[in-house]
Amino acid sequence: MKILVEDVQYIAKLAKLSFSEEQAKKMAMEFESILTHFESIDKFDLSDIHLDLYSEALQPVLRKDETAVFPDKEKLFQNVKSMSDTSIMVPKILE
Amino acid sequence: MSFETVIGLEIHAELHTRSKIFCSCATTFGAKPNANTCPICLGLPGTLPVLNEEVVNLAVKAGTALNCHINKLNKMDRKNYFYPDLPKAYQTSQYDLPICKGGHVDIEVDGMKKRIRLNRIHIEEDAGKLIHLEEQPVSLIDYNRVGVPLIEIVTEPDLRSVDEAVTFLRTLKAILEYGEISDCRMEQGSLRCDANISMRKTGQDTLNTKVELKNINSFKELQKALEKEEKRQRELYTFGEESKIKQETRRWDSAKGKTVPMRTKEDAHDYRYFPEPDLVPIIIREEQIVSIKESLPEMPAQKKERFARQYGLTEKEVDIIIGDKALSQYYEALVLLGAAPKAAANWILGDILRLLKEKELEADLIPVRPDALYRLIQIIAEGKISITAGKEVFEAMFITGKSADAIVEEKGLSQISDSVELEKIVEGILDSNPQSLKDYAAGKTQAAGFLMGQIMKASRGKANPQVTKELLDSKLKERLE
Ligand SMILES: [Zn+2]
Repeated sequence: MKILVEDVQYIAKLAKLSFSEEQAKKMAMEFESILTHFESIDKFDLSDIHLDLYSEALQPVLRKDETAVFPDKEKLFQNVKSMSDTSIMVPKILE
Repeated sequence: MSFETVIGLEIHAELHTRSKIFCSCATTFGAKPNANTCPICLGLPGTLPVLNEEVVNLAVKAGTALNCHINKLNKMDRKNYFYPDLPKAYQTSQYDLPICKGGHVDIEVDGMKKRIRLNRIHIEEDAGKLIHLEEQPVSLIDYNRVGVPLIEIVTEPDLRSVDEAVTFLRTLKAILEYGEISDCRMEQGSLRCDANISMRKTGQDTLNTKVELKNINSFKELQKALEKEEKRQRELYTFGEESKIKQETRRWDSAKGKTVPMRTKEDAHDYRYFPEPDLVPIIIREEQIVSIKESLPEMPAQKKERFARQYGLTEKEVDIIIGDKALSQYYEALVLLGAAPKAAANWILGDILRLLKEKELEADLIPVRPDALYRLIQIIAEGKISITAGKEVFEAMFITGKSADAIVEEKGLSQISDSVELEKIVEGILDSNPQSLKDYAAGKTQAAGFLMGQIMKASRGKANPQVTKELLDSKLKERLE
Protein backbone atom coordinates (compact mmCIF):
# COMPACT_ATOMS: atom_id res chain seq x y z
CA MET A 1 0.00 0.00 0.00
CA LYS A 2 1.48 3.27 -1.14
CA ILE A 3 1.55 5.96 1.54
CA LEU A 4 2.17 9.51 0.42
CA VAL A 5 3.62 12.33 2.43
CA GLU A 6 0.23 14.02 2.01
CA ASP A 7 -1.43 11.06 3.79
CA VAL A 8 0.94 11.51 6.71
CA GLN A 9 0.30 15.24 6.82
CA TYR A 10 -3.49 14.65 6.71
CA ILE A 11 -3.37 12.22 9.64
CA ALA A 12 -1.02 14.56 11.47
CA LYS A 13 -3.51 17.38 11.00
CA LEU A 14 -6.34 15.23 12.40
CA ALA A 15 -4.13 14.35 15.36
CA LYS A 16 -3.22 18.02 15.79
CA LEU A 17 0.47 17.27 15.26
CA SER A 18 2.90 18.92 12.88
CA PHE A 19 5.93 17.40 11.20
CA SER A 20 8.68 18.68 8.98
CA GLU A 21 8.80 17.44 5.39
CA GLU A 22 11.73 15.25 6.34
CA GLN A 23 9.98 13.66 9.31
CA ALA A 24 6.85 13.10 7.22
CA LYS A 25 8.85 11.38 4.49
CA LYS A 26 10.43 9.01 7.01
CA MET A 27 7.04 8.31 8.54
CA ALA A 28 5.44 7.63 5.16
CA MET A 29 8.02 4.90 4.62
CA GLU A 30 7.41 3.43 8.05
CA PHE A 31 3.64 3.52 7.63
CA GLU A 32 4.00 1.78 4.33
CA SER A 33 6.09 -1.06 5.69
CA ILE A 34 3.69 -1.62 8.60
CA LEU A 35 0.66 -1.62 6.33
CA THR A 36 2.36 -3.95 3.86
CA HIS A 37 2.81 -6.38 6.69
CA PHE A 38 -0.93 -6.21 7.43
CA GLU A 39 -1.66 -6.71 3.76
CA SER A 40 0.22 -9.98 3.83
CA ILE A 41 -2.00 -11.10 6.73
CA ASP A 42 -5.04 -10.01 4.74
CA LYS A 43 -4.02 -12.40 1.96
CA PHE A 44 -4.94 -15.44 4.05
CA ASP A 45 -8.18 -16.96 2.89
CA LEU A 46 -10.36 -16.98 6.01
CA SER A 47 -13.70 -17.30 4.22
CA ASP A 48 -14.50 -20.68 5.82
CA ILE A 49 -13.52 -19.61 9.33
CA HIS A 50 -16.32 -18.37 11.56
CA LEU A 51 -15.18 -16.36 14.52
CA ASP A 52 -18.29 -17.29 16.48
CA LEU A 53 -17.10 -20.91 16.60
CA TYR A 54 -13.89 -19.87 18.30
CA SER A 55 -15.56 -17.81 20.97
CA GLU A 56 -15.85 -20.92 23.15
CA ALA A 57 -12.10 -20.83 23.59
CA LEU A 58 -12.05 -17.14 24.46
CA GLN A 59 -12.69 -15.91 27.96
CA PRO A 60 -14.63 -12.73 28.57
CA VAL A 61 -12.97 -10.21 30.86
CA LEU A 62 -15.58 -8.33 32.82
CA ARG A 63 -16.08 -6.62 36.15
CA LYS A 64 -19.08 -6.65 38.47
CA ASP A 65 -21.36 -3.63 38.40
CA GLU A 66 -20.17 -2.21 41.73
CA THR A 67 -19.36 1.37 42.58
CA ALA A 68 -16.34 2.83 44.33
CA VAL A 69 -15.30 6.40 44.96
CA PHE A 70 -11.83 7.49 43.88
CA PRO A 71 -10.72 9.28 47.04
CA ASP A 72 -7.88 11.58 46.07
CA LYS A 73 -9.66 14.16 43.92
CA GLU A 74 -6.93 16.69 44.55
CA LYS A 75 -4.32 14.46 43.00
CA LEU A 76 -6.72 13.52 40.20
CA PHE A 77 -6.98 17.13 39.10
CA GLN A 78 -3.45 18.26 39.97
CA ASN A 79 -2.63 18.92 36.31
CA VAL A 80 -5.73 20.97 35.62
CA LYS A 81 -4.79 24.59 34.97
CA SER A 82 -7.80 26.27 36.47
CA MET A 83 -10.89 25.19 38.34
CA SER A 84 -14.04 26.97 39.36
CA ASP A 85 -15.17 25.19 42.51
CA THR A 86 -15.09 21.56 41.33
CA SER A 87 -15.63 22.34 37.63
CA ILE A 88 -12.75 22.51 35.19
CA MET A 89 -12.47 25.95 33.65
CA VAL A 90 -11.32 26.35 30.05
CA PRO A 91 -11.38 29.16 27.49
CA LYS A 92 -14.86 29.55 26.04
CA ILE A 93 -15.75 26.79 23.59
CA LEU A 94 -17.95 27.64 20.67
CA GLU A 95 -19.50 24.87 18.65
CA MET B 1 -46.23 15.70 -8.14
CA SER B 2 -46.22 14.33 -4.64
CA PHE B 3 -43.28 13.88 -2.31
CA GLU B 4 -42.71 11.62 0.64
CA THR B 5 -40.65 12.14 3.74
CA VAL B 6 -37.89 9.70 4.67
CA ILE B 7 -36.76 9.68 8.28
CA GLY B 8 -34.26 7.58 10.20
CA LEU B 9 -33.48 7.94 13.89
CA GLU B 10 -30.43 7.36 16.07
CA ILE B 11 -31.31 7.01 19.70
CA HIS B 12 -28.87 7.19 22.57
CA ALA B 13 -30.07 5.61 25.81
CA GLU B 14 -28.05 5.55 29.02
CA LEU B 15 -28.04 2.04 30.43
CA HIS B 16 -29.44 1.41 33.87
CA THR B 17 -26.23 0.47 35.70
CA ARG B 18 -24.85 1.50 39.06
CA SER B 19 -21.29 2.03 37.84
CA LYS B 20 -19.73 3.37 34.64
CA ILE B 21 -18.87 1.28 31.61
CA PHE B 22 -15.12 0.84 32.27
CA CYS B 23 -14.58 1.96 35.88
CA SER B 24 -16.30 1.85 39.27
CA CYS B 25 -17.43 5.49 39.40
CA ALA B 26 -21.14 5.90 40.11
CA THR B 27 -23.53 6.88 37.33
CA THR B 28 -25.84 8.91 39.57
CA PHE B 29 -27.26 12.04 37.99
CA GLY B 30 -26.94 15.40 39.72
CA ALA B 31 -23.74 14.82 41.71
CA LYS B 32 -21.35 17.72 42.36
CA PRO B 33 -19.31 18.42 39.19
CA ASN B 34 -16.47 15.90 38.72
CA ALA B 35 -17.36 13.97 41.91
CA ASN B 36 -17.88 10.77 39.89
CA THR B 37 -14.49 10.62 38.20
CA CYS B 38 -11.32 8.56 38.51
CA PRO B 39 -8.07 8.03 36.57
CA ILE B 40 -9.77 5.51 34.25
CA CYS B 41 -12.70 7.59 33.05
CA LEU B 42 -10.47 10.66 32.81
CA GLY B 43 -8.17 8.63 30.58
CA LEU B 44 -5.00 9.23 32.58
CA PRO B 45 -1.93 7.39 31.25
CA GLY B 46 -1.22 3.98 32.68
CA THR B 47 -4.82 3.05 33.44
CA LEU B 48 -6.74 0.12 31.98
CA PRO B 49 -10.49 -0.03 31.37
CA VAL B 50 -12.44 -3.20 32.30
CA LEU B 51 -15.91 -3.69 30.86
CA ASN B 52 -18.89 -3.71 33.24
CA GLU B 53 -20.73 -7.04 32.86
CA GLU B 54 -24.10 -5.38 33.38
CA VAL B 55 -23.53 -3.25 30.26
CA VAL B 56 -23.31 -6.42 28.20
CA ASN B 57 -26.39 -7.89 29.91
CA LEU B 58 -28.49 -4.78 29.33
CA ALA B 59 -27.38 -4.39 25.72
CA VAL B 60 -28.27 -8.04 25.05
CA LYS B 61 -31.58 -7.43 26.82
CA ALA B 62 -32.25 -4.45 24.55
CA GLY B 63 -31.32 -6.54 21.52
CA THR B 64 -33.65 -9.31 22.65
CA ALA B 65 -36.55 -6.94 23.33
CA LEU B 66 -36.02 -5.31 19.92
CA ASN B 67 -35.77 -8.59 17.97
CA CYS B 68 -32.11 -8.18 16.99
CA HIS B 69 -29.48 -10.72 16.13
CA ILE B 70 -26.92 -10.83 18.95
CA ASN B 71 -23.30 -10.94 17.76
CA LYS B 72 -21.78 -13.45 20.17
CA LEU B 73 -18.38 -12.08 19.34
CA ASN B 74 -18.18 -8.32 19.18
CA LYS B 75 -15.60 -5.72 20.06
CA MET B 76 -14.96 -2.13 21.07
CA ASP B 77 -13.27 0.44 18.83
CA ARG B 78 -11.87 3.90 19.31
CA LYS B 79 -13.58 6.81 17.63
CA ASN B 80 -11.05 9.64 17.58
CA TYR B 81 -11.93 13.29 17.83
CA PHE B 82 -10.86 16.30 19.84
CA TYR B 83 -13.45 18.00 21.96
CA PRO B 84 -13.14 19.12 25.57
CA ASP B 85 -16.07 16.92 26.68
CA LEU B 86 -13.93 13.88 25.86
CA PRO B 87 -10.86 13.72 28.12
CA LYS B 88 -9.23 10.80 26.26
CA ALA B 89 -9.66 12.49 22.85
CA TYR B 90 -11.40 9.32 21.70
CA GLN B 91 -14.72 7.72 22.51
CA THR B 92 -14.73 4.00 23.13
CA SER B 93 -17.53 2.75 20.89
CA GLN B 94 -18.25 -0.09 18.46
CA TYR B 95 -17.58 0.21 14.74
CA ASP B 96 -17.77 -2.83 12.47
CA LEU B 97 -18.77 -5.51 14.99
CA PRO B 98 -21.59 -4.09 17.10
CA ILE B 99 -23.26 -6.16 19.83
CA CYS B 100 -26.60 -6.34 17.96
CA LYS B 101 -27.52 -6.36 14.27
CA GLY B 102 -30.91 -5.94 12.62
CA GLY B 103 -34.11 -6.08 14.65
CA HIS B 104 -37.42 -4.27 14.43
CA VAL B 105 -40.04 -2.34 16.37
CA ASP B 106 -43.75 -2.52 15.52
CA ILE B 107 -45.57 0.77 15.76
CA GLU B 108 -49.17 1.80 15.28
CA VAL B 109 -50.18 5.14 13.77
CA ASP B 110 -53.85 5.98 13.17
CA GLY B 111 -54.84 2.35 13.65
CA MET B 112 -52.30 1.18 11.06
CA LYS B 113 -49.57 -1.22 12.16
CA LYS B 114 -46.13 -0.81 10.68
CA ARG B 115 -42.79 -2.54 11.19
CA ILE B 116 -39.74 -0.29 11.52
CA ARG B 117 -36.46 -2.08 10.90
CA LEU B 118 -33.37 -1.46 12.98
CA ASN B 119 -29.90 -1.39 11.50
CA ARG B 120 -27.90 -2.04 14.65
CA ILE B 121 -27.38 -1.42 18.35
CA HIS B 122 -23.93 -0.72 19.69
CA ILE B 123 -22.52 0.09 23.09
CA GLU B 124 -20.38 3.11 23.82
CA GLU B 125 -19.46 5.58 26.53
CA ASP B 126 -21.11 8.94 27.07
CA ALA B 127 -19.15 12.21 26.97
CA GLY B 128 -18.93 14.94 29.61
CA LYS B 129 -20.99 18.07 29.96
CA LEU B 130 -19.91 21.57 28.99
CA ILE B 131 -21.46 24.59 30.56
CA HIS B 132 -21.09 27.75 28.52
CA LEU B 133 -21.18 30.79 30.74
CA GLU B 134 -23.12 33.64 29.18
CA GLU B 135 -21.12 36.71 30.10
CA GLN B 136 -17.69 35.25 30.78
CA PRO B 137 -14.98 34.13 28.37
CA VAL B 138 -14.87 30.64 29.91
CA SER B 139 -16.64 27.30 29.72
CA LEU B 140 -16.93 24.85 32.61
CA ILE B 141 -16.44 21.10 32.26
CA ASP B 142 -18.10 18.42 34.34
CA TYR B 143 -16.81 14.92 33.59
CA ASN B 144 -19.35 13.04 35.73
CA ARG B 145 -21.14 11.76 32.63
CA VAL B 146 -17.94 10.60 30.94
CA GLY B 147 -18.02 6.80 30.78
CA VAL B 148 -21.70 6.42 31.59
CA PRO B 149 -22.75 3.45 29.44
CA LEU B 150 -24.93 4.10 26.41
CA ILE B 151 -26.54 2.07 23.72
CA GLU B 152 -27.02 3.69 20.36
CA ILE B 153 -29.99 2.30 18.45
CA VAL B 154 -29.94 3.06 14.73
CA THR B 155 -33.06 2.58 12.60
CA GLU B 156 -33.28 2.01 8.88
CA PRO B 157 -34.80 4.99 7.01
CA ASP B 158 -38.26 3.39 7.30
CA LEU B 159 -40.21 6.25 8.87
CA ARG B 160 -42.43 8.13 6.43
CA SER B 161 -43.85 10.93 8.53
CA VAL B 162 -43.18 13.05 11.59
CA ASP B 163 -46.00 11.20 13.36
CA GLU B 164 -44.37 7.86 12.67
CA ALA B 165 -41.05 9.14 14.01
CA VAL B 166 -42.62 10.44 17.23
CA THR B 167 -44.65 7.25 17.69
CA PHE B 168 -41.54 5.15 17.08
CA LEU B 169 -39.64 7.03 19.78
CA ARG B 170 -42.54 6.66 22.21
CA THR B 171 -42.81 2.93 21.51
CA LEU B 172 -39.06 2.44 21.87
CA LYS B 173 -38.96 4.44 25.10
CA ALA B 174 -41.71 2.27 26.59
CA ILE B 175 -39.85 -0.92 25.64
CA LEU B 176 -36.61 0.34 27.22
CA GLU B 177 -38.48 1.42 30.34
CA TYR B 178 -40.49 -1.76 30.80
CA GLY B 179 -37.39 -3.85 30.10
CA GLU B 180 -35.54 -1.87 32.81
CA ILE B 181 -32.81 -1.25 30.26
CA SER B 182 -32.73 2.53 30.64
CA ASP B 183 -34.61 4.92 32.88
CA CYS B 184 -35.23 7.07 29.78
CA ARG B 185 -35.36 10.40 31.60
CA MET B 186 -35.36 12.68 28.60
CA GLU B 187 -35.22 15.80 30.77
CA GLN B 188 -31.96 14.51 32.30
CA GLY B 189 -30.57 13.55 28.91
CA SER B 190 -30.58 9.80 29.54
CA LEU B 191 -32.58 9.34 26.33
CA ARG B 192 -31.58 11.50 23.38
CA CYS B 193 -32.31 11.39 19.72
CA ASP B 194 -30.78 12.47 16.41
CA ALA B 195 -32.93 12.42 13.28
CA ASN B 196 -32.03 12.15 9.61
CA ILE B 197 -34.59 13.55 7.21
CA SER B 198 -34.78 13.72 3.43
CA MET B 199 -37.46 13.94 0.77
CA ARG B 200 -38.16 12.07 -2.45
CA LYS B 201 -40.79 11.66 -5.12
CA THR B 202 -43.45 9.24 -3.94
CA GLY B 203 -42.78 5.75 -5.21
CA GLN B 204 -39.03 6.20 -5.68
CA ASP B 205 -36.65 4.20 -3.59
CA THR B 206 -33.58 6.39 -3.82
CA LEU B 207 -32.26 8.16 -0.75
CA ASN B 208 -31.68 11.83 -1.42
CA THR B 209 -29.53 14.33 0.43
CA LYS B 210 -30.38 14.17 4.10
CA VAL B 211 -30.14 16.66 6.88
CA GLU B 212 -29.16 15.45 10.33
CA LEU B 213 -30.89 17.04 13.31
CA LYS B 214 -29.06 16.72 16.59
CA ASN B 215 -29.61 17.43 20.25
CA ILE B 216 -33.29 16.46 20.50
CA ASN B 217 -34.36 15.89 24.10
CA SER B 218 -38.13 15.56 24.06
CA PHE B 219 -41.01 14.32 21.94
CA LYS B 220 -42.17 17.88 21.41
CA GLU B 221 -38.73 18.92 20.17
CA LEU B 222 -38.56 15.92 17.83
CA GLN B 223 -41.95 16.83 16.42
CA LYS B 224 -41.18 20.52 15.99
CA ALA B 225 -37.67 20.05 14.60
CA LEU B 226 -38.83 17.47 12.04
CA GLU B 227 -41.90 19.48 11.04
CA LYS B 228 -39.82 22.58 10.38
CA GLU B 229 -37.20 20.72 8.38
CA GLU B 230 -39.83 18.74 6.47
CA LYS B 231 -41.60 21.95 5.48
CA ARG B 232 -38.35 23.60 4.38
CA GLN B 233 -37.31 20.64 2.20
CA ARG B 234 -40.80 20.12 0.77
CA GLU B 235 -40.93 23.73 -0.36
CA LEU B 236 -37.52 23.49 -2.04
CA TYR B 237 -38.61 20.33 -3.87
CA THR B 238 -41.92 21.86 -4.89
CA PHE B 239 -40.11 24.77 -6.54
CA GLY B 240 -37.48 22.55 -8.12
CA GLU B 241 -34.79 23.97 -5.90
CA GLU B 242 -33.85 20.73 -4.16
CA SER B 243 -30.19 21.28 -5.08
CA LYS B 244 -30.19 23.87 -2.31
CA ILE B 245 -30.54 21.09 0.26
CA LYS B 246 -27.05 20.45 1.58
CA GLN B 247 -25.94 17.43 3.52
CA GLU B 248 -25.47 19.07 6.88
CA THR B 249 -25.93 18.72 10.58
CA ARG B 250 -28.30 21.11 12.27
CA ARG B 251 -28.70 21.46 15.97
CA TRP B 252 -32.14 21.92 17.49
CA ASP B 253 -32.07 25.13 19.53
CA SER B 254 -35.01 24.80 21.89
CA ALA B 255 -34.72 28.41 23.06
CA LYS B 256 -34.95 29.74 19.50
CA GLY B 257 -37.47 27.07 18.46
CA LYS B 258 -35.56 26.30 15.27
CA THR B 259 -32.66 24.33 13.90
CA VAL B 260 -29.29 26.01 13.40
CA PRO B 261 -26.48 24.65 11.21
CA MET B 262 -23.67 22.89 13.11
CA ARG B 263 -21.14 21.66 10.61
CA THR B 264 -21.20 20.58 6.99
CA LYS B 265 -20.12 17.09 6.01
CA GLU B 266 -17.23 18.40 3.88
CA ASP B 267 -15.16 19.23 6.90
CA ALA B 268 -16.69 16.53 9.07
CA HIS B 269 -14.33 14.60 11.24
CA ASP B 270 -12.51 11.60 9.95
CA TYR B 271 -12.86 9.52 13.09
CA ARG B 272 -10.01 7.11 12.28
CA TYR B 273 -11.75 4.20 13.98
CA PHE B 274 -9.50 1.38 15.07
CA PRO B 275 -9.92 -1.60 17.42
CA GLU B 276 -9.57 -0.68 21.09
CA PRO B 277 -6.29 -2.31 22.12
CA ASP B 278 -6.97 -2.02 25.86
CA LEU B 279 -10.04 -4.29 25.79
CA VAL B 280 -10.48 -7.92 24.81
CA PRO B 281 -13.36 -8.90 22.49
CA ILE B 282 -16.80 -9.26 24.09
CA ILE B 283 -17.97 -12.83 24.16
CA ILE B 284 -21.59 -13.72 24.74
CA ARG B 285 -22.63 -17.30 25.37
CA GLU B 286 -25.84 -18.88 24.13
CA GLU B 287 -26.94 -19.69 27.72
CA GLN B 288 -26.59 -16.02 28.59
CA ILE B 289 -28.87 -14.99 25.72
CA VAL B 290 -31.43 -17.64 26.67
CA SER B 291 -31.49 -16.63 30.33
CA ILE B 292 -31.80 -12.92 29.46
CA LYS B 293 -34.65 -13.74 27.08
CA GLU B 294 -36.43 -15.65 29.84
CA SER B 295 -35.95 -12.87 32.37
CA LEU B 296 -37.44 -10.23 30.07
CA PRO B 297 -40.46 -8.66 31.79
CA GLU B 298 -43.81 -8.17 30.08
CA MET B 299 -43.33 -5.80 27.14
CA PRO B 300 -45.73 -2.89 26.44
CA ALA B 301 -47.44 -4.59 23.48
CA GLN B 302 -48.38 -7.63 25.60
CA LYS B 303 -49.32 -5.46 28.54
CA LYS B 304 -51.59 -3.38 26.34
CA GLU B 305 -53.40 -6.45 25.11
CA ARG B 306 -53.74 -7.82 28.67
CA PHE B 307 -54.99 -4.53 30.14
CA ALA B 308 -57.73 -4.26 27.53
CA ARG B 309 -58.81 -7.86 28.13
CA GLN B 310 -58.41 -8.10 31.90
CA TYR B 311 -59.66 -4.68 32.96
CA GLY B 312 -62.11 -3.85 30.19
CA LEU B 313 -60.57 -0.46 29.48
CA THR B 314 -60.89 1.38 26.19
CA GLU B 315 -57.95 1.51 23.80
CA LYS B 316 -57.39 5.16 24.54
CA GLU B 317 -57.38 4.58 28.30
CA VAL B 318 -54.94 1.69 27.93
CA ASP B 319 -52.66 3.74 25.65
CA ILE B 320 -52.32 6.53 28.18
CA ILE B 321 -51.79 4.24 31.18
CA ILE B 322 -49.34 1.89 29.42
CA GLY B 323 -47.57 4.83 27.78
CA ASP B 324 -45.98 5.58 31.14
CA LYS B 325 -44.48 2.69 33.06
CA ALA B 326 -44.91 4.40 36.42
CA LEU B 327 -48.60 5.05 35.70
CA SER B 328 -49.21 1.46 34.71
CA GLN B 329 -47.54 0.22 37.89
CA TYR B 330 -49.63 2.63 39.95
CA TYR B 331 -52.75 1.45 38.18
CA GLU B 332 -52.07 -2.23 38.77
CA ALA B 333 -51.21 -1.62 42.42
CA LEU B 334 -54.53 0.16 42.85
CA VAL B 335 -56.52 -2.62 41.19
CA LEU B 336 -54.63 -5.26 43.15
CA LEU B 337 -55.67 -3.55 46.40
CA GLY B 338 -59.29 -4.01 45.37
CA ALA B 339 -60.24 -0.86 43.45
CA ALA B 340 -62.68 -1.36 40.58
CA PRO B 341 -60.68 -1.31 37.29
CA LYS B 342 -62.81 1.41 35.73
CA ALA B 343 -62.80 3.62 38.85
CA ALA B 344 -59.03 3.22 39.20
CA ALA B 345 -58.58 4.28 35.57
CA ASN B 346 -60.83 7.30 36.13
CA TRP B 347 -58.73 8.46 39.08
CA ILE B 348 -55.52 8.15 37.08
CA LEU B 349 -56.77 9.67 33.85
CA GLY B 350 -58.60 12.43 35.70
CA ASP B 351 -57.27 13.93 38.90
CA ILE B 352 -53.85 12.27 38.99
CA LEU B 353 -52.81 13.33 35.48
CA ARG B 354 -54.26 16.79 36.01
CA LEU B 355 -52.35 17.32 39.26
CA LEU B 356 -49.10 15.86 37.84
CA LYS B 357 -49.34 18.33 35.01
CA GLU B 358 -50.15 21.24 37.31
CA LYS B 359 -47.29 20.45 39.67
CA GLU B 360 -44.96 19.49 36.78
CA LEU B 361 -44.23 16.10 38.28
CA GLU B 362 -43.31 12.83 36.61
CA ALA B 363 -45.61 9.86 37.22
CA ASP B 364 -43.04 8.04 39.34
CA LEU B 365 -43.33 10.88 41.84
CA ILE B 366 -47.07 10.70 42.55
CA PRO B 367 -47.10 11.85 46.20
CA VAL B 368 -50.16 9.76 47.11
CA ARG B 369 -49.33 6.09 47.41
CA PRO B 370 -51.75 3.60 45.83
CA ASP B 371 -52.86 2.30 49.26
CA ALA B 372 -53.60 5.86 50.42
CA LEU B 373 -55.74 6.48 47.34
CA TYR B 374 -57.45 3.14 47.84
CA ARG B 375 -58.41 4.19 51.39
CA LEU B 376 -59.99 7.34 49.92
CA ILE B 377 -61.89 5.25 47.35
CA GLN B 378 -63.22 3.13 50.24
CA ILE B 379 -64.30 6.17 52.24
CA ILE B 380 -66.28 7.39 49.23
CA ALA B 381 -67.79 3.95 48.61
CA GLU B 382 -68.92 3.77 52.24
CA GLY B 383 -70.79 7.04 51.76
CA LYS B 384 -68.74 8.88 54.36
CA ILE B 385 -67.97 11.63 51.87
CA SER B 386 -69.37 12.57 48.48
CA ILE B 387 -67.46 12.06 45.23
CA THR B 388 -67.08 15.81 44.88
CA ALA B 389 -65.63 16.04 48.38
CA GLY B 390 -63.44 13.05 47.49
CA LYS B 391 -61.79 14.99 44.68
CA GLU B 392 -61.12 17.85 47.07
CA VAL B 393 -59.64 15.43 49.60
CA PHE B 394 -57.43 13.87 46.92
CA GLU B 395 -56.02 17.21 45.92
CA ALA B 396 -55.22 17.97 49.56
CA MET B 397 -53.59 14.53 49.93
CA PHE B 398 -51.55 15.22 46.81
CA ILE B 399 -50.29 18.52 48.16
CA THR B 400 -49.87 17.77 51.87
CA GLY B 401 -49.14 14.05 51.81
CA LYS B 402 -51.66 13.53 54.63
CA SER B 403 -54.01 10.57 54.78
CA ALA B 404 -57.58 10.68 53.48
CA ASP B 405 -59.00 10.17 56.99
CA ALA B 406 -56.94 13.02 58.40
CA ILE B 407 -58.09 15.43 55.68
CA VAL B 408 -61.77 14.42 55.94
CA GLU B 409 -61.53 15.05 59.68
CA GLU B 410 -59.66 18.34 59.31
CA LYS B 411 -61.97 19.76 56.68
CA GLY B 412 -65.07 18.43 58.41
CA LEU B 413 -66.15 16.85 55.16
CA SER B 414 -67.65 13.64 56.44
CA GLN B 415 -71.25 13.26 55.41
CA ILE B 416 -73.91 12.90 58.03
CA SER B 417 -75.27 9.42 57.57
CA ASP B 418 -76.09 9.00 61.22
CA SER B 419 -79.88 8.90 61.27
CA VAL B 420 -80.37 10.40 64.75
CA GLU B 421 -78.50 13.54 63.81
CA LEU B 422 -80.13 13.69 60.38
CA GLU B 423 -83.59 13.14 61.85
CA LYS B 424 -83.12 16.22 64.06
CA ILE B 425 -82.27 18.34 61.03
CA VAL B 426 -85.11 16.96 58.90
CA GLU B 427 -87.69 17.46 61.67
CA GLY B 428 -86.43 21.02 62.22
CA ILE B 429 -86.80 21.92 58.54
CA LEU B 430 -90.28 20.39 58.32
CA ASP B 431 -91.36 22.32 61.45
CA SER B 432 -90.16 25.63 60.11
CA ASN B 433 -91.62 25.22 56.59
CA PRO B 434 -95.35 24.47 57.10
CA GLN B 435 -96.22 26.04 53.73
CA SER B 436 -94.03 23.60 51.83
CA LEU B 437 -95.64 20.77 53.70
CA LYS B 438 -99.07 22.02 52.60
CA ASP B 439 -97.88 22.40 48.97
CA TYR B 440 -96.55 18.88 49.06
CA ALA B 441 -99.86 17.58 50.42
CA ALA B 442 -101.59 19.43 47.55
CA GLY B 443 -99.52 17.39 45.09
CA LYS B 444 -96.75 19.91 44.37
CA THR B 445 -93.88 17.41 44.43
CA GLN B 446 -91.26 20.08 43.79
CA ALA B 447 -91.81 21.16 47.39
CA ALA B 448 -89.86 18.08 48.40
CA GLY B 449 -86.95 19.35 46.34
CA PHE B 450 -87.08 22.68 48.16
CA LEU B 451 -87.13 20.93 51.53
CA MET B 452 -84.18 18.76 50.48
CA GLY B 453 -82.24 21.91 49.59
CA GLN B 454 -83.02 23.43 52.98
CA ILE B 455 -81.78 20.29 54.73
CA MET B 456 -78.53 20.26 52.75
CA LYS B 457 -78.07 23.92 53.59
CA ALA B 458 -78.70 23.36 57.29
CA SER B 459 -76.19 20.49 57.31
CA ARG B 460 -73.72 22.67 55.39
CA GLY B 461 -73.65 20.11 52.59
CA LYS B 462 -72.68 17.26 54.81
CA ALA B 463 -75.94 15.35 54.79
CA ASN B 464 -75.59 12.13 52.85
CA PRO B 465 -77.99 12.79 49.95
CA GLN B 466 -79.15 9.21 49.61
CA VAL B 467 -79.91 8.70 53.31
CA THR B 468 -81.49 12.17 53.58
CA LYS B 469 -83.76 11.56 50.62
CA GLU B 470 -85.07 8.33 52.12
CA LEU B 471 -85.52 9.93 55.52
CA LEU B 472 -87.34 12.95 54.10
CA ASP B 473 -89.69 10.73 52.07
CA SER B 474 -90.66 8.68 55.10
CA LYS B 475 -91.08 11.77 57.33
CA LEU B 476 -93.33 13.44 54.73
CA LYS B 477 -95.39 10.31 54.52
CA GLU B 478 -95.68 10.22 58.36
CA ARG B 479 -96.80 13.85 58.58
CA LEU B 480 -99.45 13.50 55.89
CA GLU B 481 -101.11 10.51 57.50
ZN1 LIG C 1 -14.21 6.57 36.75
